[in-house]
Amino acid sequence: MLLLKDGEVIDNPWVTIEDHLPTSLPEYPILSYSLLSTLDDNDKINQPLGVLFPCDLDIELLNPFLKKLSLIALIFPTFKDGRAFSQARQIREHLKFTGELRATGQVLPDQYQFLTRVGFTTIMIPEITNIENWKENHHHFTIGFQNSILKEARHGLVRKL
Amino acid sequence: MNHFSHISDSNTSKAIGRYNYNDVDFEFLTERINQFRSQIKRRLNGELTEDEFKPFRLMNGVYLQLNSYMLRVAIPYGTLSSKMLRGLAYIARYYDRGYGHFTTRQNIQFHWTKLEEVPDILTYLASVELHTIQTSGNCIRNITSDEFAGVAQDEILDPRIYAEIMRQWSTLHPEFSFLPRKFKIAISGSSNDRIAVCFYDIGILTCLNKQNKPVFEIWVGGGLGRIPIKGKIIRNDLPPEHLLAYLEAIIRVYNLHGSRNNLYKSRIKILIENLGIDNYREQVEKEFQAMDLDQYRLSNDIMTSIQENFGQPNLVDVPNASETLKKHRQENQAFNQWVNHNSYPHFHKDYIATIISLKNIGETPGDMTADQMDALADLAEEYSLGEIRVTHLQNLVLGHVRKDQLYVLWQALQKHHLAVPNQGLITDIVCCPGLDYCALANARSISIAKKIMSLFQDIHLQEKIGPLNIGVDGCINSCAHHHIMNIGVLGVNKKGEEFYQIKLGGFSYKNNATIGSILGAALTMEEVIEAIRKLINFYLEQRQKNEYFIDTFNRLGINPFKEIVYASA
Repeated sequence: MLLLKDGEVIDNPWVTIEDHLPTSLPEYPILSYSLLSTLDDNDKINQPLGVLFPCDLDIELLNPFLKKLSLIALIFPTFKDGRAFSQARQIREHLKFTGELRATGQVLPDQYQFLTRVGFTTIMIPEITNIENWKENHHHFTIGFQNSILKEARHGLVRKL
Repeated sequence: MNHFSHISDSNTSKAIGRYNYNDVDFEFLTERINQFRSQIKRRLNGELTEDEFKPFRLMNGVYLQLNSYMLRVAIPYGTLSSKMLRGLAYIARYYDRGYGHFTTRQNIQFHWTKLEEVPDILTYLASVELHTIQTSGNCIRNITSDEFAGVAQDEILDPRIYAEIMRQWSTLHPEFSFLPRKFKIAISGSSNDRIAVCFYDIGILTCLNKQNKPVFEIWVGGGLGRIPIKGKIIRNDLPPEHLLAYLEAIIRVYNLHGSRNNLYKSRIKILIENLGIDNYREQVEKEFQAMDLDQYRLSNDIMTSIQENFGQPNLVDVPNASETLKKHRQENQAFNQWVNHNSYPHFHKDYIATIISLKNIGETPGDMTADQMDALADLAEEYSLGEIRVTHLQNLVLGHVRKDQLYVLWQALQKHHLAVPNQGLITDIVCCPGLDYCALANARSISIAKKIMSLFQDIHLQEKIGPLNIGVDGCINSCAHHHIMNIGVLGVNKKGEEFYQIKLGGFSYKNNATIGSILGAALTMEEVIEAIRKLINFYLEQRQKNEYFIDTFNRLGINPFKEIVYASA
């Protein structure tokens, strides 16, 4: 898998841990939510921490962990399942989370601006992919009809010429 | 700078009743068309699978049907300018087979387009300020409205301004483009229902609160299809400035919790049935309270900036207009008959709205030829300030006709077979494309509609029968609203044969909104026509003074009607 940010491939230092907790955590661990929620005392963790959060749970569940989290990864089971779009906005707008918000699962380049406009900053994409499509779609639309998290100049119901 | 800048020449006066595009709007459409062009290219070179391409194709209004690709064009809140209608005529003539089909959601469909020509069609449509965006797919669809907006005497506010705001807000909405299922919104600026408000995912009426301020009455969770459900009121006092925030809250709860694994259970109506309206309302209110309402507020600045792009009708006082119309009606019986059936009062005493029936005996309901479109575009320019409205019952409306000019207009309409005096009568049938075109259909619907129309073509008989609506659907998706028509006909497939089920007693509008009841076992096409003949005869025998079909049905109940159709069998 490749990690994409602002249309460019970047290094991914994070390691996803889904099954069981190792005795010592890697430098940049992404824990599945079920593992995160079993941590007895997350206050003791003094290192960057990420969570992989399922699309069928309420993002309010992240509240107790929020201060510790540097990264929240959301899941698109298929590109047609848009639940994580709503979760992303709730995470940005209700939880006021400012760290990395990562899209995982199946997403298509054509969805790139939808993703960034609801607050995603990074995307995991398959290696067998045409990066040029992602680059093009990252900034394809210069105009949008809603205010978004990005506060773009030409977006909103009153658009500037 | 862009391909269309000549169109938005500020010297040309604005089209009335609708938002007029500026350069930014044209630029956006260019970006959208370029994106679709590249998606088609990626599909053709194999970069996109059919499964991946399909949602993008659908969100650009392109369906794969039985014969070819169908292109569905949005007519936001049902308003067309003469220029737009000529644009549609051009598409019909040069990219289709010379006609288009108006739907029940203020769209027009072209049934014979070629996929590779779609980007060129879209480019042409854009030049006349039309698009196909989100006329299909699991997203917020074309926003529909009241065909008498800006005309009706009972109007509290102009719903088209809010419909345009919703059109823009829902266009490529980053959060709501991959919903569990399609999502349909309709709005009226009146408290009297002319939009079938209880049968939308979200339906909006306008009322006055105790302080005499306009507020929205919001209905949710209505719908037809396989599981017809009457919607419920989720909020009856929403200040218009919070419209978008409240819609976001409603749709966010749906997007998060609507079923994703069963196509038939994924509409908002099912979620609300399962949760109960009170529980759903609670979740929506919670979300609404958590939102930064200022970010969504429809401020005076926003309202003004949208409104400024709407052309305003210049209505003038016309001495003796009503007397002139009265005189024409006395002098010509056929004209009088047409006015009786096909007109609607205007708030201005010297104007009248007229319904152009697209239900010609022998023709497909809702179809219009390119020549008729061009002719009507000219007539609208001459007699109705260049504006044409599309109804949710597959007819058109000229909204602002001077009463003294109605007679001349009628004479001109007759030449183009556009003066059929049957609005609201038994031959004003709503009909889906059915198995003649649609890949979803089980049975043909157009042939049934044509046969019924021909059976009752005598206008005196139609008048004797009185107001009655019929909807003919080729499948349970119910594009022709058969569930909520006085008489509904539904095509079903029995072992590869076409059969038809009859529903009676449906009613589309708020106060008496009813889903019809199934009359009995499905019938063949010949039997169903005979059954409708019997049903009408029985009603004519049984009805009491001043009763319409629906009244007689409601008084007698379904059993006597059932006996009439099935007794001899």
